[in-house]
Amino acid sequence: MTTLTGWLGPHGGYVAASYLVAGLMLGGLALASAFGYRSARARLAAAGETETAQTDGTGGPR
Amino acid sequence: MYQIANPARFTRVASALIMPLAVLTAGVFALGLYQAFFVAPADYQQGETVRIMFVHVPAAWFALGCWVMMSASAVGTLAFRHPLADVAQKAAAPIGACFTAVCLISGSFWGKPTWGTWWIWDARLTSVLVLFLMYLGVIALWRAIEDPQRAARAVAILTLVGAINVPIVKFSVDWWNSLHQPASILRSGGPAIHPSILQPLLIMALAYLLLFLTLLLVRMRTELMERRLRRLARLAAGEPLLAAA
Repeated sequence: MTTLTGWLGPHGGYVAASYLVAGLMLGGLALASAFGYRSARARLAAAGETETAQTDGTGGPR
Repeated sequence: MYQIANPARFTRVASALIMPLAVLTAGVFALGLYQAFFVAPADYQQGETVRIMFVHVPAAWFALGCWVMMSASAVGTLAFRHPLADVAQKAAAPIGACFTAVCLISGSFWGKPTWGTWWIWDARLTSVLVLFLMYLGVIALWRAIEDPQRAARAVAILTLVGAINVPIVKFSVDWWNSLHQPASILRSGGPAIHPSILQPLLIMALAYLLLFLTLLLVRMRTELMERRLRRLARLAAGEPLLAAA
């Protein structure tokens, strides 16, 4: 906190907290999205399907 | 646009775009953060706390922009039955909710040293809180209705009704007395802030836009796969497929 106030002034904690919260939330969403994609792809592969098979958006054959 | 309306074609295009977009997003974020901390000067009144603007303002812009995009998707669902419209809408809602939460929390961290309070029930802050609650409502509605086609129609209607709040958020600082400052960038007469602060802000806004597009493509691909998995599960259970995906 001493370093922060030296660098970013007396309100450095507020600045640091803003960036930390934004980084955690946006980074967390990015990680969750990536893991969600990997999980869905793995389950689809386990079902014997591939992601790029022709579909009509509802999962049916086109 | 109709060239990629086919989900399989969309998936192939998205697959080619995601990795370059992700790398570009990281690069632009790095440049934006460098500019925000080491190039932009401190404000003559607010001092170093003005740096909160570089995470707060782009989050606010894309919190609103995401709802506008979802409203366009809602029209695509209701009027044109575009096969990807409701997929895009479902994928975008959590991203918009996250941007709105970042806007609210960083605004609170900015408000305490600047206004002397974490929160006040003024028009701008309250209308953004309503926007956040509407995002949660959209996410909850998707989860509450099992049939994706019925859920898509219900969510589309809710989204279009909620679009009324977008101009309220934007113009609340002009229509009512507000502790929040009026628009200083997206206003008639051009930006009212110095280029040394405007440039890092625009770079961070570009980073947020690239992040939004990257996450949207990833989540749309995931949703398309989840729908195929649900269809396969229904096939395996011997259920009819016409009623729902």
